[in-house]
Amino acid sequence: MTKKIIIISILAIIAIGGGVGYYLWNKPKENAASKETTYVLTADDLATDFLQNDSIASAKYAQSKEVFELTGVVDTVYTNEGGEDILVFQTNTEAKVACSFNAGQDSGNPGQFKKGDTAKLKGYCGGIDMFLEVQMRACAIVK
Amino acid sequence: MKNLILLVVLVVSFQANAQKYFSKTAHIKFFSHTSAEDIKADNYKSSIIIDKASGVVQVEGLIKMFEFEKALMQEHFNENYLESDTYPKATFKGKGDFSGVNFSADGNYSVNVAGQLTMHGATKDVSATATIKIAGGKIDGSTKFYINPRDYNVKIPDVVKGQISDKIEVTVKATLQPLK
Repeated sequence: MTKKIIIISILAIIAIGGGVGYYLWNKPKENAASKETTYVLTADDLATDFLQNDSIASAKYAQSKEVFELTGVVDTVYTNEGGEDILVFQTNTEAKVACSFNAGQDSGNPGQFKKGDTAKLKGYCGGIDMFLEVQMRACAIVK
Repeated sequence: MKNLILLVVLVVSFQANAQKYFSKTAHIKFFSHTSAEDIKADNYKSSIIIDKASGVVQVEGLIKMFEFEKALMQEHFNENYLESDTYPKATFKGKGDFSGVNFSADGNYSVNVAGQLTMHGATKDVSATATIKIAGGKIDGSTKFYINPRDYNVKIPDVVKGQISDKIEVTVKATLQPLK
């Protein structure tokens, strides 16, 4: 009887472990929509911080756990060669903020915005590139 | 006379600028092949700038902007392997001889580029042949080379060693535009 219980327990552990492993391995990529916001900023503020000191701003903002709610004035919207929609915020600095949306995922429709519109979205920060574009990823439109 | 000097300065500086070509949407791809698994990561938001006159080439990709097919792979790549919170960028700075490339006429060229790739806090020499194809005013540049993650102090746990190659193929592709 004890032997039976041990065997069943081992099989159950293997099945649960396998199931959890399978789930983790295949878990879908998520956008930032349902994540808890850690920073509420304007595109102007974010760009200003990066221009003041790239290293300090990167250490503060370009962190996997930080989720941004960002508001700004739209400059352009386009789709890149990887099929990702990109919404670019103009700012009151020489920098811009380019926000990318996961390809093939419903994250709102960035195409609804035209140059000069105000948009609000959530996303993660990747840092600033050499052309002074702060890059945001896994973005989703906030309605 | 002053106006003439100003005009000359403007023309010269315009020509100097026209010698630079760039892309903000360059594609960097990492590809690892093993018998167990193929792993691919793409960053379509990379930067490249080529200065024809000096031959200086700079390429930069933000690590967090690499996209994997699987969320878990992307998580491990950022958090465990390349530690992108601490090392947010991969940068290449090098030189090539672009003097023979006529960017304003159709043609195909091969240019050897050599320099340093900095990633995950480590810098290593890298060299590769870049192909430049100019057709109908469109300038396409591409190159491919191989790196070993160990050269960049990337620690891969024993349990997944068989799934990650020690020869990662790096491809860079970009449609270049003159910098005005």
